[in-house]
Amino acid sequence: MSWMNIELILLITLPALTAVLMYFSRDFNQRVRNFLAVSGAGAELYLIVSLFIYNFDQVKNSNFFLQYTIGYQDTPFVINFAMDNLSLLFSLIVTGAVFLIVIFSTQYIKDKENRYFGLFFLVLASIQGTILTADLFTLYLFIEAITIFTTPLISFKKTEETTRAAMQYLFYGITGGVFFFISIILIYFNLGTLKMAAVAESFALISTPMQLTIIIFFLLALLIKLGIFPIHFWLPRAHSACPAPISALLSGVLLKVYLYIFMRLFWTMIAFDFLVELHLSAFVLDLALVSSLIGHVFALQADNLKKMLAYSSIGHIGMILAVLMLNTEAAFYGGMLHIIAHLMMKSGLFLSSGYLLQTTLSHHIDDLKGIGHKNRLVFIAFITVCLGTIGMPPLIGFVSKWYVLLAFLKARHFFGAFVVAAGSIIALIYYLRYISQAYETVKSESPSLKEELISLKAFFKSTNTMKSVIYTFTLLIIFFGLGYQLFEIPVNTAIFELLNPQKYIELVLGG
Amino acid sequence: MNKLMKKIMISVVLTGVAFALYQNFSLMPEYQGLNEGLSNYIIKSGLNDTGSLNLITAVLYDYRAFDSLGESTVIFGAVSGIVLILSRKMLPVSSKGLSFIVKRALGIMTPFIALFGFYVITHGHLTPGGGFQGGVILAAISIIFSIVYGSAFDYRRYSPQTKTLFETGGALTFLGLGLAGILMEGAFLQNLGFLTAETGTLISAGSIPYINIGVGFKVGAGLAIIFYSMIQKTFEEDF
Amino acid sequence: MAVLEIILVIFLVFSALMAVYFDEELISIIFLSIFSLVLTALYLLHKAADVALAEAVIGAGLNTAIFMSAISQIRHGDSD
Repeated sequence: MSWMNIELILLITLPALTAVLMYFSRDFNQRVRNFLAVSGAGAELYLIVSLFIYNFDQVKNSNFFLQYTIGYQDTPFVINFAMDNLSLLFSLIVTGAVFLIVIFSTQYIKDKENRYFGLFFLVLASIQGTILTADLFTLYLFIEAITIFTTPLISFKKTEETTRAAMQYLFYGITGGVFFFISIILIYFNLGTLKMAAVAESFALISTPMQLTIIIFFLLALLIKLGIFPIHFWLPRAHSACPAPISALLSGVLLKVYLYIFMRLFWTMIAFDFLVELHLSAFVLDLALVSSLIGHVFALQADNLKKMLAYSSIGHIGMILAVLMLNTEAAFYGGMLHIIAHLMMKSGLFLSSGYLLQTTLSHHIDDLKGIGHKNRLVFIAFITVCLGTIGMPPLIGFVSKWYVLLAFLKARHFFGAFVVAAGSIIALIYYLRYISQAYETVKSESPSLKEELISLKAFFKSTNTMKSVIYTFTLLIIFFGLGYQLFEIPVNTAIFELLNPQKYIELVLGG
Repeated sequence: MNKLMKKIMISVVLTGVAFALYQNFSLMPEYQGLNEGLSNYIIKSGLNDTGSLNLITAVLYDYRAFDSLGESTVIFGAVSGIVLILSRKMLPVSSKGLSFIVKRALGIMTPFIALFGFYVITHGHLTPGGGFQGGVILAAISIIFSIVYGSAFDYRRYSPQTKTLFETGGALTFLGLGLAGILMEGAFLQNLGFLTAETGTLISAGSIPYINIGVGFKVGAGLAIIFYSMIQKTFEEDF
Repeated sequence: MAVLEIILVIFLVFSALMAVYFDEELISIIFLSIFSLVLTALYLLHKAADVALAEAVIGAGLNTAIFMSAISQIRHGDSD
């Protein structure tokens, strides 16, 4: 068990270095800048994929573990970075999605690219740090960093609406961060350490009222960040105000990162039994289900395409959180699959909405008339992804929703099963509303589907790069819907990690 | 009436939160003094490990240097975000400054303020202070200039491009020292052994003084950029 | 020592309350700056010189300047 795994620190410093380089790149040629951005994200993807492939045997036997220590050995101050199967899975899917989003944004963002990409790569660096760190204070630091770096990206367009959304996002993000910080202070004063593994070992020694306080503050912080029902209103505004790639990043990727933190905290660090003992798990489960239902219902009345997608995100995240709170193996399987599926589907939907809405006046539903005739192939991709979100059979959305439903039924939790089914039906209605509007006949001269297919040979033109990213997401959704067994090994090993936190604790403390 | 109700509501909520926090913090264990736990460890072996007389700097830039790197990256991101939101590309010509007496007096004082700022930065490992505090002092000089001499004075001499260069240079220094730690000592941001010298001299404590200088330039330039992008006005406003 | 500390804490709470109480932004900012200065003295009393230096420079110096520039923008009605 070596502690010299330099890849882990490179995963964090590589995007940071790319960010500083991009910051300088204002005077560069656009081609050079795009190349730099894509190669920065590509190097990150290569690193994580090679980690996965070279250690495939260990991943399969679920004893994969890498660790990196900064600072003096044998002092209480070392900062640990650890990667087990759970972090590997998240790091892999997040980096893959971010790579595609970067390719999309090289063509989508037209001005001030240097600052845009600088902040974007800083967000990527903090996401990797959040996933890899094994130290509570460093985790807090990275969570705050994500909030601060995404705020200017939300108000990238500098209108009154986006500024307001960004201020609201910043306010709630910082409030959540403060709650998180209070918990960290309390843990430090009680246990004198901030290493997650050391906290996990001695959490039972804290008095029960203190445990309750710590857990409640952690829950408050994460529920605010995830946009669960009582404090959800900032989410649709923030996620619909920003440029399309940032919406994809926030809704598709960042919410999953917060779910990862949730799992890390409540399964690895604070054992789930404490939540059950303090009667909080049932409460959170019900809250998440109500939030899911409310998100879907609000999506029905949203007249703005991106707002509708953001509300639907609330619905899906509530469902995932609820199914994770069941704390059974089947539930984890469904939840993990849906995390992957939702990541791909929401990123694809937001990116294609960004492409479609380039030519329209606004995002309002009335302005979307005839948009399906103008961009036929992209809109077909959009419909396909929508069907995946609803849960149509050959797509990955169906597989994941099916396992979630099975988990709820196995746990005899019928309200949950009802919410999953009702959510699908409501989703069908609100997607159909937009799709029917898009095929309203408007006179226009645009290439037919056949011509568009033939012109695929000019695939690498600037708009076609955007299109090809959208098609890639769509094809991935179809492909993994047919071959979801490919995820069986990583998902199952990640679940093993959740069910046996002892392994992580021992390896971090022992290494 | 409405305003009064609002104030009463706010004070009730604040009192409730304060009471809840007080209740929770009163549950904490007693303060154990300096001879227990982590403080004891730092006092005993901090000087040995790092060679830095100022133990707070030792914690910030050696034991937990990675967290400091994160903090300064947050400042970097915040600066570029604020510039992204507020940039207007207009010269901030808003005032002619204060009277002649104030200008002369400040002209005499400024070198000493700057010297104090550099002293705080470079002696971070020996006396209280460090890169962050000294950097803010340097940024304060720039702010005083804009108040006393009018806002265009400093802007013309050190354009935002120069300041950006200082800022990114500071960030690259920090990152570069981290990477040098990998190459020479085997761990990211490990204190560079070959730079250590006799304790108490100016050039000692490994890479800590250099990290201090990097952070100082970065923070000073970054905060000055924030201030100047905040006082920029739109073109129409000036007439 | 204890008496001085109590006096400083009373000043601290007083200036914080005043900063919230006044509707005029300028007065609030001045009280915030006083709050920072009192806090600096308290930190020094507890022998935390580093934190005191940071608080004096940032809280009393930089924050005041940035707040001032912010309210000058608001007064001008510069809303973009």
